[in-house]
Amino acid sequence: MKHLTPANAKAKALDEARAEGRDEDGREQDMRDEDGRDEDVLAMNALVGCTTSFDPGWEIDAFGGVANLCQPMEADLYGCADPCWWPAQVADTLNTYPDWTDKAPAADQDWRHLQSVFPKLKG
Amino acid sequence: MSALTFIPQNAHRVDVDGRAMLMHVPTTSLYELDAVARDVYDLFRRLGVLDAETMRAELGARYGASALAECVDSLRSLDILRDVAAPDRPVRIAKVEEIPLSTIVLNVNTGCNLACTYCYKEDLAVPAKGEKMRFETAKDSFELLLRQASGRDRVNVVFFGGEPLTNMALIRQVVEYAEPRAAALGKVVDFSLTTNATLLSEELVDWFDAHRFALTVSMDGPKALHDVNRRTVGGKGSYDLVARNVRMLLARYRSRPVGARVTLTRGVTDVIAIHDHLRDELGFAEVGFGPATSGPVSVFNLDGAELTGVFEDMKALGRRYVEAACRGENIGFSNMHQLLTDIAQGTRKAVPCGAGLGMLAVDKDGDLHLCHRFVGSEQPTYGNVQDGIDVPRLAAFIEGAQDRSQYGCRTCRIRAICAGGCYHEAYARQGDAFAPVYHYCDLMRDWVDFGIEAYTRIMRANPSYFRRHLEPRRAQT
Amino acid sequence: MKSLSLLAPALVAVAAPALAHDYLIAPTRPDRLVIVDAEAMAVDKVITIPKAGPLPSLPVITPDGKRIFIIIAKNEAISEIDIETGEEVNRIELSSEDERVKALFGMDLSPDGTTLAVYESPVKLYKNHYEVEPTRIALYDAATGELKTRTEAPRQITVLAYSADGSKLYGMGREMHVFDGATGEKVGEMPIQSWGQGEYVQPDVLDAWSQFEVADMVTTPFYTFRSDGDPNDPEAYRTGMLTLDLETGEMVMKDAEATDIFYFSTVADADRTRLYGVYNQLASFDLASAQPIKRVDLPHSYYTVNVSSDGKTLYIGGTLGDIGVYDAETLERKGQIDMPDGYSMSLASIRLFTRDD
Repeated sequence: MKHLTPANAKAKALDEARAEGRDEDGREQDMRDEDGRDEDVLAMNALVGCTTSFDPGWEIDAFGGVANLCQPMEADLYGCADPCWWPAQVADTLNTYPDWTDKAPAADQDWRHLQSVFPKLKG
Repeated sequence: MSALTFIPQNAHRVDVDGRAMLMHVPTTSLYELDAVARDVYDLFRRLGVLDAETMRAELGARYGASALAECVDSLRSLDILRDVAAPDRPVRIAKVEEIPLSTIVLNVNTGCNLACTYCYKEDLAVPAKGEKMRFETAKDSFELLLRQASGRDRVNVVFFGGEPLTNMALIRQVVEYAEPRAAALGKVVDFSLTTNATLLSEELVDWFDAHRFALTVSMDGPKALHDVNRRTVGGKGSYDLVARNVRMLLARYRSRPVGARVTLTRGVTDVIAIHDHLRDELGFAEVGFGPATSGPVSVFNLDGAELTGVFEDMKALGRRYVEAACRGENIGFSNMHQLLTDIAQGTRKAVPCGAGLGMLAVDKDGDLHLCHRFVGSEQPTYGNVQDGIDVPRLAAFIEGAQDRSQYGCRTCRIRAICAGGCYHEAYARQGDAFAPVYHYCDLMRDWVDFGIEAYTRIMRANPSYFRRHLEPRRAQT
Repeated sequence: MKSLSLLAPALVAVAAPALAHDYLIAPTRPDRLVIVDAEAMAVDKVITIPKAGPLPSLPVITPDGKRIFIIIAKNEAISEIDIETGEEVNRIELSSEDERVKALFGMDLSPDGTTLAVYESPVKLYKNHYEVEPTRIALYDAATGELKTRTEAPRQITVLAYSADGSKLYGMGREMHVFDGATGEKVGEMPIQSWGQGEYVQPDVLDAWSQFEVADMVTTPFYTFRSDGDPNDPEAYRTGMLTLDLETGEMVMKDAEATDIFYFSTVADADRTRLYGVYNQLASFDLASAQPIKRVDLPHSYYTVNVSSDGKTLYIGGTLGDIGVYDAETLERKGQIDMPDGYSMSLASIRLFTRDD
């Protein structure tokens, strides 16, 4: 590996394996795929699900931490449900579950009345 | 070279003492970047997408075309740079077809003679009401282990509780059965147990020594800290008794080093003072720290500020560790050992631990659980020592555990080391064994960065440290 | 604005603030329009809108201060409410049998009160599938509710604002799009995405709140990064302020401070000397230079901020069920106005209007 010097056991092992045409488990193979990537490099999944924007903000904030999330979480709960902003995390009241918050119009007081939602079978 | 795009989730750079260290996230390979690689990396990081002309324009004056091309090729092979047209590759889920156990954990008694306030065991009882495992079940468990470990020449039996010393009778029976049985198959069996040390006697200690038990003592530090939570049912602190027994134990135990396991909780967070006391004053070979595991609403949970404080203390102790290691000295800080081992070896985890794959826990009815922590919980079991492991169900769990993309782990730079964190911790806090331990995520990333720094420094100053102090430790686990 | 002298209240309070009395319009779940006496810091009136749930969101008041248009009913209808009687006098249904239309964000009334401009996101509903249609600007006759025209418009527009003279309609999205105020046709755009090219990477703007009425100026925070910045350097991440003067049509984007916190929305005061931003903190900025002046922590997150006509008091709202009242200079909390029953405002926009009384 040019310009990158292995600095731990794994890097050394992979280097040697590459040189010998083996993967990290010792199996013989052509180490590169058609895009020039090492076969054993696991690229990650495509993004699952969909949201209306690519904001960070539900599990972590844009800084990768939790200090800048909406506080308390109830403050953001309806801001996320109403425009179907985070449809995987919060029931959306825009289309699918408009009645979800009927018993809880005051988020910080009544959140206990919010129930789980389950997909209804169609047809 | 067609246009290439930078794939930030596959690379993490940490500069240590002027050296540019690059962690290849998917394989946990660590590299040092030379000047060319540094500049190429920075350029791609800054612009995101580049073609050959732009790279020549930016860096052509400084480096020759072949040096640049080689560098780009290296980064491409790691999928840190990728053709803009090349697709993402899906997560590769390793199918689980068999369960190659190396370890079986026996819950010998749900009873315990202490009532530590933070104990996570959902089935804990006083010794009189404790449910004890019968020898038949323990024997079946060991046979199951031997069958599953057919490819191994070493197996482990761990005794857990409650307090395991409240059922010494069973432990003696198991040892008596297992040693010759393993030998007959050409295998070595290792025993371990974690104890609160209140019931140790010289005779017991000598017996453990004779059978080379790996012992860990649960102890929380000096008296003032230990007695905050580790109390008898009557509410009395256990330190005086435990310290006396530990001194006795450490004075005579020869077969293996003895470690201490500390539970950090609200009011018990002084990592440095605890380490000083347990290692330097009492003489434990090493000390490991873990925050108390409780549910989402609990007085024991360390809140944000305390957790950050704990990690700062861990790093402070870690800096002492590094300084000692550079001198060739090992100050016995288990968490640091573990972190450095992962980085030195380049541990790449598809799942956070061996639960369900290399290890299973058995309750008194012979039912199989992912690990000792889950015994007594509401989580599902995976077969029985008599009927066998429910392989399809366990396989489904392990396969499920390998893909955390919907939990936000997809681009995390420590995903190959953390792999989502302890199942039980996640279950206790969030009710979902696969939900990553979010309250630790930032701190864990920082901790791993600290580990990369520490590793790099020790490698520069005293590379033999790893061979002498960390590798022997690995052979035992 | 020749009709102004014939009408009692002024929508844009630039003259004689001592006589004009500030009010806030705060929609809450599930179907309420709360009129707040801003100076008294008390609820003046609660109007229940029929069949409006789960949240009435964006209110726009007519220039004569008598009626409010508000987006309701899963964002598929617009209700016209008489403030005095609390009655619904008209309703515009956006959806039909086979087309579901959402007015997600973005609605404004022309300065002469005759045209209601609505940003629509339509979907055609077939037997077993949906087809997403191009987004569009619809112009409705404000008096009758009849549709006048509909024209295709770029996606992701979150704020619609008429220019002070009504000739242009601005739509803030990935760029600041400019539309003809009478026909809704796109006539131009002012760049947001390519601002700062060379020095800064592409800015990120996402602001779903309309609160431009006091200053006649659309404002929003934006987030960017210095092109030559080191990702490990916290100073390389930049928060900027975007202002669009509805009187002159001039748009300015300025680097304000290092991004250590976020703002969801901002507002300018009537004098156009100050900008205020809000989310988990409330901060004041000098408008001309975009430089930060002061910042305080908030007891909980708020999405919206509006400012009194005299520029002395800030009203922060959205999210939960209280509007925080702050001194605009010192950023001290003067108190709060609790929504009736504590019902949440969620992401409704909170507007300010004045009445002579």
